[in-house]
Amino acid sequence: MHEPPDAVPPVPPLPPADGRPPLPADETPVDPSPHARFSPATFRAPDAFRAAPDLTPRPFRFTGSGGEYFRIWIVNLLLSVVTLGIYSAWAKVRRLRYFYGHTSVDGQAFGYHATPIAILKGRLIAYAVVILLAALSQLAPLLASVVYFPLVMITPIILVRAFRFRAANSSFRGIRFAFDGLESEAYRVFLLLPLLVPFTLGVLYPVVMKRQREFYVAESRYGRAQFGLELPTGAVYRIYLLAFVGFLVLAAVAASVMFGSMTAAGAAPGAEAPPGPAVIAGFLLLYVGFGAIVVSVRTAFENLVWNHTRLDAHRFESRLRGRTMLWLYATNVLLVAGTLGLGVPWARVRMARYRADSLTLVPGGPLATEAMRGSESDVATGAELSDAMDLDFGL
Amino acid sequence: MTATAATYYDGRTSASRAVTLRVADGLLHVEGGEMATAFRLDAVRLEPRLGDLPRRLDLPNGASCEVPADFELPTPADVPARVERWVNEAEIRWMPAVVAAIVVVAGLWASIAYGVPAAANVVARRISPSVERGMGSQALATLDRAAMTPSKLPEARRAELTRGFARLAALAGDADQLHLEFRSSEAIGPNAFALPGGTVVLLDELVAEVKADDEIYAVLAHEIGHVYERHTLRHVLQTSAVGVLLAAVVGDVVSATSYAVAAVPTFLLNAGYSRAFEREADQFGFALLDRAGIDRAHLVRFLQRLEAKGGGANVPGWLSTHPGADERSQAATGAR
Repeated sequence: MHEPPDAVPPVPPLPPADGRPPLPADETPVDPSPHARFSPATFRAPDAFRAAPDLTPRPFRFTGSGGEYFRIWIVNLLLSVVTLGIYSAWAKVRRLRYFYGHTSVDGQAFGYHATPIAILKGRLIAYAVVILLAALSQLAPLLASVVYFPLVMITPIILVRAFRFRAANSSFRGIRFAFDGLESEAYRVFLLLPLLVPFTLGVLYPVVMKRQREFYVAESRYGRAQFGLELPTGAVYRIYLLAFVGFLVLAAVAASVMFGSMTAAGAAPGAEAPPGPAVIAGFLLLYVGFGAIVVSVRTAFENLVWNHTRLDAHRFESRLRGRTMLWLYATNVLLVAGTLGLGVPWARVRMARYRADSLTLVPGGPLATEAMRGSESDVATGAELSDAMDLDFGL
Repeated sequence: MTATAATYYDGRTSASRAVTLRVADGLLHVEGGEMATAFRLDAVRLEPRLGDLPRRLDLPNGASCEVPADFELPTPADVPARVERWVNEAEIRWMPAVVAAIVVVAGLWASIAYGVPAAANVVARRISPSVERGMGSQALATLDRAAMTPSKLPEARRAELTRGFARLAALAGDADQLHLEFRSSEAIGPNAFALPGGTVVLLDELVAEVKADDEIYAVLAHEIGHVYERHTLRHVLQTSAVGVLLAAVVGDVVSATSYAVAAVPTFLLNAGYSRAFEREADQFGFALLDRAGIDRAHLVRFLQRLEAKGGGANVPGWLSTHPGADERSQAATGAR
């Protein structure tokens, strides 16, 4: 149900350095960004004299505004509701185009190409499945589990198709992204490995997270330029270990707040005692603390992933700060709750802006490449099914 | 037509080139440097306008041009393109956005307060009672495993209460559907509850708590109301519908935030629905008690005693799943 709405498109996009194929005779190479809107100073190298490539880091930028996005969001929301969800496919394309189009690096923005009809088809199937499952699980739980099983079994296929759809419909400088991951590998990292987690008492969990992300990033490419990702296992474990310790401390504190007060009040066990203020405070503490841990883990993981992502000779630097992310999430929750949901667009724009501002492309060579011609599946079922089932996760 | 400056991407290299676009003789001419090409107008596709963002013009050879937001082709727009042009006109102004916000908020409120309950009521009454009985027996089995033990009431006492219950059931007009079960549960405490399909469970703890049998019958009449009005099924339908509705509306919020934010209104809405059902069951129960010749005050008295015993529940009304005893007592006297 949620795109990673963040401005940063699914796959980091950049042309690679070496192996630049000869250009067709009728097309002279030109300055990579003559019409850049926010371009850093670039200079046109004389043909005979190819100067050393400009290796200055290129920061990502997000230029959308909360007010503008609010108007787009609410108008499209109304149309989606009035058309009983049919228009939501068009709304989704406009939303993603807004975020892609306002995210830029090296003065160039990203493009989103999906056709609403392709999304609508997938969306209808996905909602039919979700509604059927919801109804079955209430009315005939046994039958629901029978239906649920094959659905779980095809999840890796759905994920691969979703990744493929998203990548194929994203572009930068006229060149599409692509995802080449195989279903067999998806079964390994999204079904087999997670199944082993309970048997290792969760110790394997960080490995699963690592392998899933590596699969997603390293099987992506931009034109002919291949992405690469190898996460250091130690660093991944460090993140989850810290989170685990944090959770133990949180649970201990919350429990002492709750049960300390209960025994003090001498409430009889079993009596339908109303939740006292201390119990409510304990739950609130758990709720807020758990949220903070989740945000911290995500932030650390996101930084780690970006900082180890390569695109040919290029790499990325992500400097998200945990404190800033916590502040953004906390204020966003208050903003959305305090405006009965109407503050959602501002919340999303704030997040997108901070994410983009924290990300930098560090070139390892000239930024130009020839795209690989690839097949583009126009069937959105994969993308939409995982959308509706909350399986979508993004970089 | 005047020429428009644009940026050309060939779709194979990431290099860009400055071109000018010109429409003449039903063709789009793309010219820049040594390049001069033309495409039929019906073969190119211009991305719909979105704010001030430059638009992409897809060319049939896999190339594309980035054109200014206000660039337009002289070809007639098809229906989706006309709709999106109109949408863009609405998006760039504040007035339509404010109107849309008011309509969405009012519509959401109306459907949650009236639309969803009414629809759930209609749907619930069309679902076969056998479905409800299935749900009920599953719920009973789960509760038996998790929280309840067999009743310790003497056989004669149980038979007496069953007879009283049967009298109420006959008066309610649904005698063969309704069925009384006895259980004991320290964890749940003095309570009775209705399961979908017609089973009413009476706990020993409640029987021990009452001052007169009529208080038990008053509670049972209320529970029969839940059965008769098919509250469990309606509650399931309503909460699922609201879940879908909220997910559709806030579905595109930042993920973690949306879960944190959506949990609270969902909880409050469910509590609100629950209170409405309790009021409905009270109304049904009061009417049934009147017919059985039992004083309505028994229900109110019992509830007030429970509330007092609970140590003065400090839960505010809007957080609670049941209306306060005061409100219910007023309903008992008012609606006679």
